[in-house]
Amino acid sequence: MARSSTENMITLMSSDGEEFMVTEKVARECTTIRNMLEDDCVITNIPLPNVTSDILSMVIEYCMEHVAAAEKAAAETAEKGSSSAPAAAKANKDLEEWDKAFMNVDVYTLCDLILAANYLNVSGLLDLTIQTAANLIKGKSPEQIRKTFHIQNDLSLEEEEKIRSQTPWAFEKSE
Amino acid sequence: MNTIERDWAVLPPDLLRTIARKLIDIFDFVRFRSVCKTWHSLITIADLFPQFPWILNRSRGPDLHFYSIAFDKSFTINAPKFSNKTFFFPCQGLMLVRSRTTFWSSLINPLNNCEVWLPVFLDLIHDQWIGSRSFQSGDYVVFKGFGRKLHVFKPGDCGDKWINMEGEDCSIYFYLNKLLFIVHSLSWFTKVINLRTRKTVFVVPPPWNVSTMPTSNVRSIWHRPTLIESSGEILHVTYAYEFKKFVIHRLEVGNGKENPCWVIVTNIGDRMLFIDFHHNNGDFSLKATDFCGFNFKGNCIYFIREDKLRKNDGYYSDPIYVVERYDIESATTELIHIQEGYITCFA
Repeated sequence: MARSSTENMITLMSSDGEEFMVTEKVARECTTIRNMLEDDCVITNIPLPNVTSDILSMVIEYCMEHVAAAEKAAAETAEKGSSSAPAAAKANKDLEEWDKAFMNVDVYTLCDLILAANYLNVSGLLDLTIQTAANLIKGKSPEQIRKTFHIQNDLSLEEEEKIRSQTPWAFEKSE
Repeated sequence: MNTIERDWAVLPPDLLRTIARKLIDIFDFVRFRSVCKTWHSLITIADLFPQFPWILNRSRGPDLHFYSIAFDKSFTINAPKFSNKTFFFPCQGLMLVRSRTTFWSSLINPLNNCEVWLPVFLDLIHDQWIGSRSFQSGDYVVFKGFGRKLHVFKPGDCGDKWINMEGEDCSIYFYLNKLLFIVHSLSWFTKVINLRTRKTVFVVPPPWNVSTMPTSNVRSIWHRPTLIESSGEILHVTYAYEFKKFVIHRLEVGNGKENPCWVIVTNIGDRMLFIDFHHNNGDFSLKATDFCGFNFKGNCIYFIREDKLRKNDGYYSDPIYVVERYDIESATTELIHIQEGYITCFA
């Protein structure tokens, strides 16, 4: 780690003009920003025209939590020489619980978070949000999926019938 | 709060596909695809999570009955294209079927009901065949016909003619990338034929010197070999009935200097091999890490074989089919399920 000056502060500016001061370490959780910093290390102010302030604050919250967890694990390893397996497992579980609580959002926010995580390239957050979306789809009929995600059914009756006839088994109760 | 409401229906295609790939259960996947026009057009069957190996009952259509090893449950797929048809051994996600009225044959993917008619009449005495997923884009398909002869077919080639490979002992064969592998049933020499030139490319001697063992003994102890494509390698797998042990070799082609040979393999990492001892042409290999969270184990062989139980009166029962898992490292076998059928994998 050549660049360990965690005190370096970066300002991120959301699409609606709000500014967020974060440590460089937190900002580096976003691969998009990390690449910018590597290209031009004197940048201190980064405008993010694709992310609104409420979504950006959530992304930062996620990054801070994960950076803190990683630092805590690293400190424990350094202290004891090696990480104890039960402690590491507990820390992992705590972080999972935190992620789960963090995903308690409405589908619009979830959609925004997916887009932001994709744009900023935060792989952990992207995995988490995509998995959450997939979990919302599981076990639902097409109509229930439409309701959950507020999607208009723009398929004509004939089109719907055609799709069903290709895979009739999927629309019946299994077993 | 948000001033602009994001619309899920216009999520970028790559993100939509990432979600689709998380839908492990094929039922969820298909329902997800039929939500709206955009999703239906953007998500294709190619985005489907690699499907779990299933045991397909040898029942008659139109209902196909499967047992899923991963979910440990049986389910039924209604496939209208299978009504009034006899189906044969599945291979590479396709099933060979023959109409019971016209006797013409076709290949059908039961998940999307995509059907390819075979342009010639087949004498399907043996229900064995081997092809590849890219069949429609002009790859070869090989069938075993009457008298253990092989019929090689390629759409568009030689005016859709069948090539009958005369004079070959063709009980064990395997196809990969325009190459046909034929294992001689007695000597276990493997002949590799280039289907484009129809010439023998090379011959691989058996993995061990069969001549040092009495032939009768070899055949009574060892099950005939099966060839499997696995992570870019060609594996040669044999099973010793009596000792309940598998022996795996991989093909070493040798870069032109040395002769091709079989090299013993003692560990296959996170790979799993799936073997059907009754139909040794559709065996396949998957990675356990692709099925995280399910009860699959790497470095294992899943196989289906026929067994007979000894009843109380001393007689043997009718044959039953057992699905077992062989752990390569510990050389132990455990029972997974009792089910009659073909071991197969659709996508």
